[in-house]
Amino acid sequence: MPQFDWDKSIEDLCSSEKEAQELQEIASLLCGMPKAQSSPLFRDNLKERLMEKIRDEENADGNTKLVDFKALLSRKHSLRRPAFSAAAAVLLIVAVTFLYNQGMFINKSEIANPTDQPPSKTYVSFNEWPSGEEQLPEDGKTDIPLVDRENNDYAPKGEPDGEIQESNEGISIPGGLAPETETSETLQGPEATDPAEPLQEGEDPLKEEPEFEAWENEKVLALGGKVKPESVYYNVRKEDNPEQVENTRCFWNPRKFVSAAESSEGAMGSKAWAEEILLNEGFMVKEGDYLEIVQQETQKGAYAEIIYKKQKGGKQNPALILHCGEKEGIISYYYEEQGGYAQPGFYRLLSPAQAFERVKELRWHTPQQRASFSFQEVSLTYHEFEVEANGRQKTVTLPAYCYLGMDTLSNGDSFQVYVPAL
Amino acid sequence: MLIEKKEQEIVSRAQDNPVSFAPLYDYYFPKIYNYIYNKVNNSQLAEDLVSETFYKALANIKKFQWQDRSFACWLYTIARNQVIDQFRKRDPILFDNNNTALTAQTEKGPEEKVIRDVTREELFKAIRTLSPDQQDALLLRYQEDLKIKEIAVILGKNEGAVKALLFRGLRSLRKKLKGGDFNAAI
Repeated sequence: MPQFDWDKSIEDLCSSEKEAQELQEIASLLCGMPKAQSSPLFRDNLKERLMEKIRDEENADGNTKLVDFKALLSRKHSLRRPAFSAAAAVLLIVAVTFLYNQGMFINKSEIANPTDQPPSKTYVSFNEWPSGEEQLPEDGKTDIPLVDRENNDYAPKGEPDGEIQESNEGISIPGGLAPETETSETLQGPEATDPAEPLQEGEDPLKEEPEFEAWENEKVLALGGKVKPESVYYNVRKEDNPEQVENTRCFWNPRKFVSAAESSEGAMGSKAWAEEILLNEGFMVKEGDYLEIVQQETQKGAYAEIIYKKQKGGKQNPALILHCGEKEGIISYYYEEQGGYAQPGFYRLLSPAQAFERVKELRWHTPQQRASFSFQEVSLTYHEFEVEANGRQKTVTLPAYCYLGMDTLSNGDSFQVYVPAL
Repeated sequence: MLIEKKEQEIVSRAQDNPVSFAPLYDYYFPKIYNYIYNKVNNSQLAEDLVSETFYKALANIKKFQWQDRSFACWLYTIARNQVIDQFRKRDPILFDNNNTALTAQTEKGPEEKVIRDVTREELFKAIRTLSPDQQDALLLRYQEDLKIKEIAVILGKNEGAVKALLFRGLRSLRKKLKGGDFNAAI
């Protein structure tokens, strides 16, 4: 029966204890009734439709702003007369054409050589065409000068629709300098483009930040209760009801990677590099384990996703996913749930060092008056934990870190403890 | 419920970038579907109303503010309004005869010693004879596991009124179920 939280205050309204008990039974019955579930197909389709709507709106947003901006232009400069609106639009086109004919547009090659440029010039480059029907210029990219933002004759000051907006690709200008094509434009000053490596035609610009699937589709596991710390029996039998030892010390000392001279190991994205990262966190990559590295380059540097799954262990282990940056090191920990114990997806994990704090909360039972344990290895697995909610206990299978340790005071055997990894 | 702080982070992310709405959808979809299905008892209609609920939530998420109500309260309020609007339209609701939407099985427990052999269909049929507010109070409390305080926010009532709704709703259910004559009661 699922967790049932009876409201004691309702009993005050009951005329008798018997009535209170019966109402509680009905509430419990209702609570225990199975939940209605939709078809996964509908759930996924709706999600896809919602995401599509977001994308459509993002695309439409730029166009809407463009239209609004043109409307604003008309209002500001036409003295509220349609004839002036049309004249203003014609003048705008003529002005742009005139500037173009005067050779005031700079070729892309000039962007790549900023020394030839006046330092204050800024450029607009078309690199997004939201509608598939609209045709790109032949070279796929056109550069035209942008009016001075300080003395902008085109963009009305103080109007939100005329504001320059930050976007992933740079600063986008919601407004039209090319009114015949409603496109979103990206401002790329000389500082926004690496002069040494100009973008080639057809080449996608580097993403500003890393994008990982786990970040985009992170799921959250709600336990609805508190995980009860497990009892650990070391050199004693549970049946003997040994007393709990308070004076226990536990240390997390993962076997750090020791670089052997100037070995070539550790090049980012290599298997050796990933194994080193994992080893420093306490994960021992062994023969037969699954290890995958997916790299991506961004404007902030190189990033990589390490997917590691221990094959041995007698049961299906979850896949550990680490996100690393060349500058930041490990950024985040996730695991991928296949659906056996929770909804399929990516769930954020604690690092082994963070989760180890819970090892100290375990209830230790040893024949020794004091004990000291050192843990060197960890693996990600599933483990059953007791969860306490509203005075009741239930057993829940959770992703867990299994720490392998040993008694440092009496040369004891190695043994394992489990704590939730979430 | 999601841990509030974590939920706030996720909602905040979704407000900045609607693409981040996905985790909220994943978490709340089964809950909202269950709530709406229990209200309308028709899977096709439930799907339509769930769709509308999430479209509205997505369209308005930037307006949502953490004040005296959680995101869950806000979302259930949208769902409830969808159902209310549906009933206002007086569209005929076709009830599902076969509960194909149900996949889990009820566990047998001591709770069933007083009211025996009550199927899910019978129980929810009986619930749907209660006043709309009693239905909402019971479903939100005992199927959706919301707190009385949260239900009070969703229904726009104080906590005492919600307790009274729960009490009267349970008492009515007991009367209907104990008699065993569900069809007569309905």
